[in-house]
Parts: sequence; C-alpha cells; structure tokens
Amino acid sequence: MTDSLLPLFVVVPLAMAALGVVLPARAMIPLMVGAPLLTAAGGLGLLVAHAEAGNEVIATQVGAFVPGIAIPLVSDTLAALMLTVTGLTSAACVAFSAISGEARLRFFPTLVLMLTAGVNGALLTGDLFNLFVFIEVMLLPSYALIAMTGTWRRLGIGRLFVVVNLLTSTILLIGVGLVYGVAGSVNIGVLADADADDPRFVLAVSVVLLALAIKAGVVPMHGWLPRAYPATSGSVMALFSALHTKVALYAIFRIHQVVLDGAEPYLTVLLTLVVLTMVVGSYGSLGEKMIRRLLSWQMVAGVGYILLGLAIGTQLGLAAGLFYLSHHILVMGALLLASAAIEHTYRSNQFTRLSGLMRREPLLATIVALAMLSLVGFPPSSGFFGKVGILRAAADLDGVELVVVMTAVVVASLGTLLAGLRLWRGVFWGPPLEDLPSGDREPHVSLDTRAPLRTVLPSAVLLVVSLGVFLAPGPVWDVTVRAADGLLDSTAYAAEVTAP
Amino acid sequence: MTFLPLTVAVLVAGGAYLLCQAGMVRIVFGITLLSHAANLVLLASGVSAWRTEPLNTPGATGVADPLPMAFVLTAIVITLAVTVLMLALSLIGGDDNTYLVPETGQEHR
Amino acid sequence: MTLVWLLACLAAAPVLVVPLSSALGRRTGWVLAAYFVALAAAMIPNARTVLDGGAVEQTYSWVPALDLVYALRLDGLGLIFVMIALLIGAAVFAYSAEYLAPDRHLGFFLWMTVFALGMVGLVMADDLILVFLCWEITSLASFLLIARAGSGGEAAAGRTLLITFIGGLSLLVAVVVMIAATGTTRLSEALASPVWHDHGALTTTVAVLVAIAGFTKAAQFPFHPWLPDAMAASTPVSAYLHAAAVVKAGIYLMLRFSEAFSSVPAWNALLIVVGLFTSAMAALFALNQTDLKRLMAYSTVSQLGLITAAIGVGTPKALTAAMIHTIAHALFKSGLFMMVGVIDHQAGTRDLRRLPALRHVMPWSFATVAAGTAAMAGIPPLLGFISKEAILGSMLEAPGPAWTGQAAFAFAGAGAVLTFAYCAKILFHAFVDGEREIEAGACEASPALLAPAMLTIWAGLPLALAVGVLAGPVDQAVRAMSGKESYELALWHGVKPELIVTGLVILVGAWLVTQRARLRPRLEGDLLPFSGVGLIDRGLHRVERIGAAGTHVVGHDHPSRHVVPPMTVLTLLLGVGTIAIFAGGDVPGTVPDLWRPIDAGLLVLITLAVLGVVVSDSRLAATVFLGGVGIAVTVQLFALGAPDVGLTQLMVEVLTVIFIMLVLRGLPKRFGHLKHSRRRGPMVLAVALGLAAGGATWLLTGRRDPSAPAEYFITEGAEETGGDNLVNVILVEFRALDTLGELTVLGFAAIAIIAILATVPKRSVSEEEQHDLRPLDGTDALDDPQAAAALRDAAPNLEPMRLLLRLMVPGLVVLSAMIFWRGHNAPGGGFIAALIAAVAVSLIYLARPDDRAVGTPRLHLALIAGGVGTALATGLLGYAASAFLEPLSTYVVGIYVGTSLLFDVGVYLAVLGLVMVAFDRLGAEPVEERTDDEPALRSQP
Repeated sequence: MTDSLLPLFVVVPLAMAALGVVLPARAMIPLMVGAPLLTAAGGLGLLVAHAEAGNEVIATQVGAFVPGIAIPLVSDTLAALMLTVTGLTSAACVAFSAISGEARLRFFPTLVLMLTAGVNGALLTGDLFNLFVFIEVMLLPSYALIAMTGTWRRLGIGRLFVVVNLLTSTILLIGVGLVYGVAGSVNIGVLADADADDPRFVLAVSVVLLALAIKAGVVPMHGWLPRAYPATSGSVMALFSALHTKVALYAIFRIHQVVLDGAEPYLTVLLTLVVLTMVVGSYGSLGEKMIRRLLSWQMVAGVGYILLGLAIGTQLGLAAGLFYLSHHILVMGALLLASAAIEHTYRSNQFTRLSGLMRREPLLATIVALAMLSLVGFPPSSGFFGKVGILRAAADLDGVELVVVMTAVVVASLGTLLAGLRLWRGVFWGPPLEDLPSGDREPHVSLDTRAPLRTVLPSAVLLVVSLGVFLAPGPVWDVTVRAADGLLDSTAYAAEVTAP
Repeated sequence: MTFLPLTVAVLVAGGAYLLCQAGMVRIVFGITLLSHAANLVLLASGVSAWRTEPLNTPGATGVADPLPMAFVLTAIVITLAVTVLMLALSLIGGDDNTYLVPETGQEHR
Repeated sequence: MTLVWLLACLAAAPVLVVPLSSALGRRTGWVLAAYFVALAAAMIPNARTVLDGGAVEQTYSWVPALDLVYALRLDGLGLIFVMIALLIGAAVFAYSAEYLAPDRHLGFFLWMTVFALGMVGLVMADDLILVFLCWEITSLASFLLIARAGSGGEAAAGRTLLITFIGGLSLLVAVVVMIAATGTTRLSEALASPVWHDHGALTTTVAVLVAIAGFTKAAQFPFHPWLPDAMAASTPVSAYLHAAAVVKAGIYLMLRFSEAFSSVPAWNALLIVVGLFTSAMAALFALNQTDLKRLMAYSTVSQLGLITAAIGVGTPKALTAAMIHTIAHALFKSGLFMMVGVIDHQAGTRDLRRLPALRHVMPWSFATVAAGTAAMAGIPPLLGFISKEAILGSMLEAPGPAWTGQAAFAFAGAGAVLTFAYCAKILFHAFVDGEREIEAGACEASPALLAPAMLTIWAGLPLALAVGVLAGPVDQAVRAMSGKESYELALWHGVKPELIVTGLVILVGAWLVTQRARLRPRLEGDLLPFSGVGLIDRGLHRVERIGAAGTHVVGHDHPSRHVVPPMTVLTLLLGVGTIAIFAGGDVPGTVPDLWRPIDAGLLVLITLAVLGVVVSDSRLAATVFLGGVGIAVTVQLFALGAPDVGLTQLMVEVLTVIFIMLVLRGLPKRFGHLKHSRRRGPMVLAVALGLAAGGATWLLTGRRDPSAPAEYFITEGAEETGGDNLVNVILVEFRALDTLGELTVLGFAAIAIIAILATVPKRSVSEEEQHDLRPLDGTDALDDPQAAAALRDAAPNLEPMRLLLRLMVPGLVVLSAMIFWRGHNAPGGGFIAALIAAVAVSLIYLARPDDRAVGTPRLHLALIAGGVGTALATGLLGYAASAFLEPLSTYVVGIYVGTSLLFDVGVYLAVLGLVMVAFDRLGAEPVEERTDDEPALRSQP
C-alpha cells in the first residue's frame, strides 16, 4: 500500500503551492514550513520501513501502466535518507526566512513549496526524462527566489544563474535524448540491464552525468556557483546549498552506479576532477572578504569530498560519500543560517564591517565555531566521522591513486582550516564592534543590538543534529552502508522498478 | 547519410556563439537555438527513418516513435515558460547588458 | 574504578566547573585538584593489575559499519601517563587557585579539564580512530587555552592549531593506512601485526607519518615554533601544557608506536637526528632568551629532543631512559614553570635583564628553583641526573655502525653542556645577579602558591634516592613497548662513559658560569636573521595569495564567461568520445533511408536563418531571423511525422516572437556594443561544439531497431487508452506526471515573473546607459509629422485590426475548442488548443490602443491555480482506481469521457494563465507590486 502513496511526496507540496497562488503569503507561511517537515517525517518513515524490510526497494508505476512504459517512483534507503535530510534542513532554512520576514515577500512561500515538490520528485523518480522535468520544477522557483532576496547584485546574478542552469538543462535534455537513441529507453530500471560496456551507451549517459556535474559545481565548471549563490539572501542560499547541488550529487550517485554499474573507465577521470574540486574549492575561500562568499567555496570543496566516495567506488567509499553528503547538508545549513542571522542583525556579512563578535554573540560564535570545526573534520560533530570515513575508504586504494588522494585530502583540509581561521579572524576576533571606525560600521546598527534568539535557533537546531550524529554515529553509518549496498547491487532496484 | 545531425550542428554552433555574448536578448536567442537543437536530437533518437504519423492508423508501416515526440512537446513548453521568464529578467533596469551589475557598495571580488 | 568510569568522571569535570566556577571563582582549582587526586587514587586497583604484568581492557560497540570499537586499554605505558596527567594536573589546579586573579575563569577551568580528558583518553585508547579523536581533542583544547590569552594569543593560537592540525592529518592518514594494512582497528593488535616486519615502503611511510605527528605535538624541529609562541597563554596553562599534556602526547605517541617501528631504520634515523638536533638548537635558543618563560619553553623543546632521540634508539635501555626522563621532566618542568609564575607574581616581571637578585628576599623560591634547574641540568642526586645519564648512555646503543652511536653520544654530551649553561642562566640571573634595587613590595610568595611547585620539584630527590619505586611501572611500560624487560635503574652504576661525560659537563658548565659576565652580551643578540614564526606567517600569506588567485579566475558576474567552461568540457566529451568510438570500430550500421530530400532543404534554410540571427545588429532583424529558424524547425518537425509537436512549435514560435517584440520596446534598437563583444574565442568554441554535437547525434542515433516502448505504444497504446493520437495519450495518460510538472513550470513561470518584478523598483540597472536607450515606440520617427500624429492617437490606425478581430477571435475560440476536443484522437489537445486561444488573446491585446492587460491579475492567478489544481485533482481521482494519475474513462452514448480530458483542461488553464500574465507584465510597463509587508531587502537604499 505504501508504495502507491509515494506520489504524495510531490502532490502535497504542489497542491499547497497552487493554494499559495491565490492566498496571501502570510497565510502560507505555516504550510511553507510544514511541507518540508512532512517530507522529512515521510522520509524517516520510509527509512524505518526499508530497514525493517531488509533494505528492500519499493516502487510504484504512476498511472498503473505497464512497467517500463509508465513513470516509476522509487524509494530505497538512499532516497529515503535524502528525503529526510533535505526535508529537515530546508525546514530550518524556510523557518529562518519566516523569522527574518523574507517569507512575506509576495509568492515566496508558494515558490518554496514548488521547490520542495520538485526536489522530492527528483529524488524519487526512476525515469531520466522525468528527472529532467522535476529538475525544471526545482529550478523555476529558484530563478525567482535568487532574484527576489538579497542585495541588488541579485538582479545581475539572477541572469547568470538562469543562463547557466538553462544551458545545463539543455545539455541534460540532449543527454537524455542520446540515451534513448542508443538504449531505446529512459527508465532507470530498464537501463540498469543495458550493456554498460557498450562505449556508445557510456558516452550518452556521461552527457547526462556531465550536466549533473555542472549543476553540482564540479571543477572546472564550478565558477558560477560561488558567484551566484552568495548574491541572494542567507536563508535562500542555505536552501539552495541543501537542495540544488545535493540533488545533482544524488542523481550522479544513482546513475553512475545503477545505469553505468560504476563504470571503471571513468574512475581515473572522475578521481582527477574530484581532487581538483576538493583543492580548488577549499582554497578559493582565501580570496573572499564576506562570510557567505567564503562559505560558497566550501560548498564546492564539499562536492569534492562527496564525489571522492563515488570515485573510490567500494561499499565503504560510497557509504562514506553519502555520510559526508548528509553531514555537509546539515553543517553548511547551520553555517549559512548563522551567517544569515548575523546579516539580519548587523546588516552586513563583510569582514570589514564586522569584528569582535566572539564576546558580543557567544551563542552565534559557538555555533559557527563548532560548525566550522565540523567542516574541517574536528570533533565533536558529524564532520569528524565524515573525514575519517572518507579517508578510511581512501586507504583501500593503492599505488599512485592512494598517494594522490591522501595528499589531496590533507592539502584540502588545510585549506578549509585556513578558511575557517580567516572567517574567525574576520568576524569573531578583533576589537569589539564599538571600536571600529564609525565609517566601517553599518549606519543603522546601534551598538546595543544583539542577534535575537529566534534568529539563531534554526542554525542551532541543525548544529545540534550534527552533534548528535557525532555522539551516535553507529546508526547513521548503518543507514549509509545500506544505501551503499543498494547502489552497489542494483538488481533489487531494477527488479522492483520493472516488476509487473 | 542523414541531414539531421548537420542541422543539429548548425543550431548548436549558433546557440553556443550567442550564449557567449553580452546582451541578454542575444543570450535568450542562443538558448532558443540550443533548445531547437535538443528537440531535433530527441526526435532523431526515435530514428528518423520511420516518419508515419503515430495516429493509430491500421496497417500503417514505418510509424514514427511517439515517445520522443511527447518528450519534445514537454520540452518545448518548458522552454517557452523559461524564455518568458528570461525576457522579463532582461527587461529589468531597461538594459540587457549582462556586463553591467547594479551597484551595491559591496566589493564584488 | 573501571577505565570507562575514569573517563566518565573526567568528562563530568567540564560540566561541573560551570556551576563551580561561578560559585567559587578561582578556588575551583582546589576542588579540581582534590578531584584529580581522588581519581588517581581510584586507579590504584587497576595499577596493581598492571604492575602484576596484566593489562586492563574494556570495549564497547561504537561504529560497527567502520568496525570501530570503543576500546580502552591500560598497560604500563598508559598507566604512567595517566598518573602524570592526573597528578601534575592536580598540582597545577592547586597552584592556579592561588595564582589566578580572583575571577570566574570559566574558560580556563573548562578547557583545562577537557585537556585532561583528551590526554587520559589518548593514553588509554586502544582503537586507532579513538586515538586520533583524543589527539584532536588535545589539539583543540590547547588552541582554545592559548586563544583565551586575548589579542596577543589569537595569532599564536592560530599558528598552534595549524601546526598541530598538520600533525593530526598525518596521524589520521597513518592510522587509516594501518587499519587498511592490518585489517584491524585495535591499536594493540595493529602494532603487533606481522605486516611491519618487512620494512617496505608501507612500513616506512607509516612510521614517518607517525613520527611527523609526534614531532608536531612534541615541538620537534621543524615544528617547534608553536611552543615558545604559545607562551602567550597563562602560566598554569603553560605548566600543564609543557609538563603533562600536549607535548607529552607527542612523546606518548612515539613511545607507543615504537613497538612496531623501533627496528625501522627510517624511524631510528629520523628520531635520533631530529631529536638531537632539536635539543642542541633549542638549548642554544634558550641561552639566547631574556624572558624567563620563553627560556623555559625552549628548554622544554630541548629536553623533549633528548627523549625523542632516546625513543629513536629504541633499545630497552633507551626506552627505559626515555620513560624515566619523561617522568623527571614532568616533575621539574611543571615545578619550574610554576616558579616562573611565582617570580613573575612577586617581582612583577620575568625579564631576566630587569630581575634583581631575588635570593635575598625569596630564599625558598631560590632553593626550589635551584633544585629544579639542577635536575634539568642532570646533577646528582636528583631524578634528572639518573634519567639524563641513562639517555646519554643509551645513545651508544644507537643502531647502525658503531660510529653512529659514538657520534650521537658526543652530540648529546655537547647538548648537555648547553643545557647546564641555560639552567645556570635561569638560576643566576633570576636570583644571584642583577644590579637593580629590589622593590619594597617584593617578598617571598605565600606557602599556598609555593607548595605545588616545591612538591613537584622536590619529589625528584626522594624518587632519585629510592628509584626502585619507579622500577616497577617503568619496567611494565618498557615491556609493553619492546616486550623486553627494562634496564635496571640506579643512582650509581659505577664508572661508565656517561658518568664521565656528566662529570665533564659539570666542570665545563661551572667554568662557563664563572665566565657568564663576559659571555652574556654575546649570547643575547639575535642568533638568526629570521624567526620560525615569521617564516610561518610569510608562508601563510603566500598560500592566501594563491587561493585568492583561484577566487579571481572566476570573479565575474556576466553569464557569457561562466558558460564557456561547461561548453568546453562538453565539446571535449562529445568530440573525443565520438572520435574514439568511431575509431574503435564495431559501430552498428544506420537504419536505411534515415533522410528525406526535404531535410536537406531545411538544413540550408536553417543555416541561413541562424547566420542571420548571429550577424544581424538590429534586434528586430535578429528576431525575424529567429522566427525564421522556428518556422523551418516546425516544418522539419512535420516532416518527421510529428504533427502535434509541429503545431505546438508553431504556436510557441508565434508567442515567443510577440513576447520578444514587447520586450524590445523597452530596449535599444540595435545591439550596438553588445554585438560580438567577444568574437574569436566564442566562434572557435561554437564551431567545435557544433561539430561535436552533430557527430555525437550521428553516432548515437538512428542505429537501432524500434524501441520496446515505441512498439508498445504503436501496437497497444490505442486500445489501452481509447485514444488514437498516441502523442496526446502519452502526454495525458502514460506520462501524465511529466505533463503535470511541465504545466506547473508553465503556470509558475508567471508567478515567478510577478514575484521578481514585485521586488524591483523602477530603477535602471545602469543610470549612465540611459541616454542611448531609444525605445521602439517611434520617438525616432518624430521627424515625420504624420507618424508622430499616428503615434499620439493610436486608436484610428487600429481600426482595420479591430475589424479583423471581430471575424477572427470567435473563429479562434471555436477552433481552440475543437482542437481541444479532438486532441485525444487527432493532432491537438490541451496545449495546442490553449496556445490557439493564447494567440486570440494576443490579437485582442495588440488591437488595444493602450497597454491595458487582457483580464485582471486576479483572473490570471485564478487560471494558474485552477490549472495546477485541476491536474492534481484529476491525478488524485486515479486513487479511486488504484494509483495516482490512473485514468478513469468510459463512453457515454459513444462519446469518450475520461479523466485525462479533465487533466487536459488543467493544461489549458495553466497555459492561458501564463500568456495573459506575460502580456500584462511584458506588455504594460511593469507596475510596482504590493507585497503583504515590507520586503526584507537589506541593502535597499
């Protein structure tokens, strides 16, 4: 029975979105926060279901047509995990936008709801063309959200974001076309049985993967990301960092493993790109003078760590990659929302205009410190096991690959640490705000302003989850390992999707 | 021997060139050309040898593959939607020069 | 008490100090001191088992997926370090209760207790990852304690964190490689693994990595600069840091891993060379200092160098020496640091040049420092003498040819002289020399302040006399490390080389002391033109510049640059892929007659039109050419047997062109400078990508039999759905989910436009560009009076159009309805019908003399919401049967009625909604929208 309910993950938020077209924004705010929470709850339910049923896959044929013809919606441990984490994080993000007042911008909630629907669809679909459609459903509201909130730069940036993503979507569409041209199907379950050694098939699929890699911001196609994201507001950026790049990464994991059976010939290329992404991303921060711009580069670096797991390709590698994925969603969310809280209070996120917040905002300082440490891989938070897991998996490589990857991780972690210190020096250390020359202070910030607790809560919640993962890493790792098993042996997936 | 790939090549080349230009309107044109190309690729993927309209005409031979057509239809409409959005964006500020960015008093790099 | 309980109690401490420190202030120190002593006492039962040659173990499940075990293990080595951490900790806490200014000092107590926790955890951990975890905790604690020292400490803390972080990374790499190599995460098992016996590249690499990790924390060259740097921290912190915690963590690590690596040449060489070099270098720097605390710091570096070297030798004797010296150093160094604090506290300075001859007023302190320095210099009858002598002796056992041992021995001897010299310097400059008058205030410190320091320092005397007490634990420690029994310790070993050297050292040292007046000025100049700290900072700046370069490569906001990398990569992928596969052969042949003559004609047309779009400078002309491309493509679609697609494309083309026209009104007439802003690069890329794409299309399409779905739709599609137009039934039934998403996108594009424009005030992106904006509203035709007149009053010249409308609109509406209805069986359906209606709307709009929109905003929104809503509702109806979007249909008096028709209505509404909004927004000047409330735009002027 549950399987036929899978479409509700799309239908419910979409219906709410339609409602939001006619209702005023303020009335929609509860729904806007509720939908992602429902998603997370549903995802959790699915996780439990999968765990109890011995990691089985559940699928439904939309419209009850013949399998292979109908569009399948599929849930396995991986999809459920993604639903849970993205749902939780986006709930925190939109909660902040509700607190900060952004959510009262016209149509903000309804656009967020449509975004949620698109994400859930993209996570659940078992059909490449349908994936394209749901990615469009995600992107359209994003075009609006990125151009609605934030500084005036967003207007120019809105154009950048739209153009890059449209190009990418077109590439994705062409890729899907080529796949159909070669294999005569776009159903992932059917493609799983296609001959993954046929170079023509591999070429066609890799066009799809390339499009997803652009969306994920893999070096050298990363440049647009750290330019575009920081121009919008903190909460929207947090939302995007939790959803867009991560959905693309999810799809890469899924397609590379299920459709290409983790194609070997790839790995060298993939490894090179991954290493570049880690290093370039982690050091890119060192040129930035604003909190969220600095963080946007760490998003790129994170993509590297996550894909490293895929490039390693062992059960442990995939599990580590997925663990890092979940950890990165949470921690980036916490950092970006904390930065958003700082901006909301101090009207700026530039290092030149902030100083000495450590004594002034102890709670925010603690959150940012712990989250930044988590990003670097220090205890006590999810980041520690993220880094340990990735490196542990990498240790199974050998020869040149082992050396290259280990060096890259070490170098990249150093970069991230330097970025963290840079952020800390720029914002939390230094003389108290009062001592800044008045020219450097934002005009309308009075000296006794403090960040209201309610603006700090969303990021605090995400951080607490991350700390929880550190204290009880066992269960989370079990989940990611099961998800990895599902990716390594896709027969269950294929069988369930194509089963009459 | 077939011509569709050449047509695709021409459209892609034109689109790619326009995409590299500064004017938002030209970029929109570029995207339009690219999506034409994508649509032709999709139809070509249905094998362009069979071209009989898929209207369930009994005894018809060489009936074209309707699935890519459905894909293309969907794609066309999505493109329409996004094109309209982009046109709206290029209107903002009464200038479509993407090299000009609203001044914000914040450092851009 | 079980090991895990010990950790639990230590973990409780940081929590307890929060209320404690607010209640007792600095006196919290006393409580903690008592607490730590109690914990140490509680470990005695465990200590017994260990001394009887056993080891206490406890394991709990941790992360099964990574087969990590929460494993604790206490053996001789661990025991000694636990005791050091607890007892020295106790002394330092007791001291701080007097030393600190009366205040809360929450941070201090918090991080000090965390520090102790990390340290004890580290030495008891028996899981490699747990080891790393505790290692990182000590790094963090030291960072936080140093950073607390305020602005001075921040930079230092940063450097410390960086260096210890490098160590942490190299330890982590070592650890994971060990796990992968030995297949276990248990430290004890991994160290015992036979893998290490063949000293291959693996063993060497791991050994070196572990050594690096050890060096970073034990402040060995070239990682030493952080330790003197860390003197910014308060004195109790330094005392603990130097004697018991961070630096000892480094020593512990090297001792622990020597079990596996003591016979690896690289390990021996690295430790001995670096250790001895560091000890001599640091001793020299120590002599060079004038700040007592920095002097102490360098002395620590120097002493740890000796221990490192001894570990490098790795024989039982050497390890025994290392152990005993670790204990001795922990005692005298913690004491000496506390004494520095005392001097600082009493005399108000710790600068040797400004300290008066304090011995007159501070006899007790004088005696204590004398004992401490004597121990450090290795003078009998103190524990320092025994350990130093043992280390000297062990140097002779250094592996390799005999001369290496002798060299090491000689070098260590020379170092010992320097050590003697700086110990003397401490004592004499602080208490004996000094011309300056003693201030009235200066007096002996309070017993409470002196006690802890005296306790630790004087402990060295009885321990030396009854060194047997230590024999037991040390023996167990050495067994744990080398499996062999330890070298028997004694105050008197008879006349041996090391004894002679010690004698010589004392003689030379004494002579130097007499010469100190002459030597001092020479010594206190700058030894080197650069400082370690300076080097680190310069290095960091360089790194930052490199990073910034990476940032600026992509530092531009216009799309045109950012689309280049993706398109380049795509070109490479498609180009290289196609060529490689084609070269590789075995490509299935193409299906016969893929093409028709008309394709060729269209290719020519499309090529010309595309060229037109690319080259034309007039926006209008470009638009016309674009329309041309659209029409040609439409024909191609029809030619491919896709009437529905063709019709849709046609309608979309018409609308797109109209919309573009609307937008062009507000834009310059010509592209002007925007045309060909960048020419050559794009051209090359464009051609390359075009060829690659074309090649890939040729290679990957038209080379297979009809696909399974195609077969299915063509044979069974109609019966399955009762509709003859397969494309339409796919859209509204088989793949209705795609269509649902698509109509949502369509409808919400309108919402997006409204939402964006709502936040944008009518304010130009670039004021200065305004002057050359010449809208196409005819202002440039004003020289022609008639045209001007025509423009002023548009109504009359729209008459013919109106006339046309009266005829067309009803027709279009009917047509739209028909197309909609027949959609299921013949070309048509919701989209096409709606698009036809849209064209009607556009005609109505165009025939308006003013810019008024067609329909009210409320209607537009209703259409969109209604469209999406209807489609969703239809989908949910499917549940009545079994699944979402499952179509329900029946024939009422021979007429097909089905939910899919309803679904199509949803499509129809959404399309109409978008079109109307588009006319409203793009046509009419964008009007400022009401938001429910003020938008939260931060930098809005």
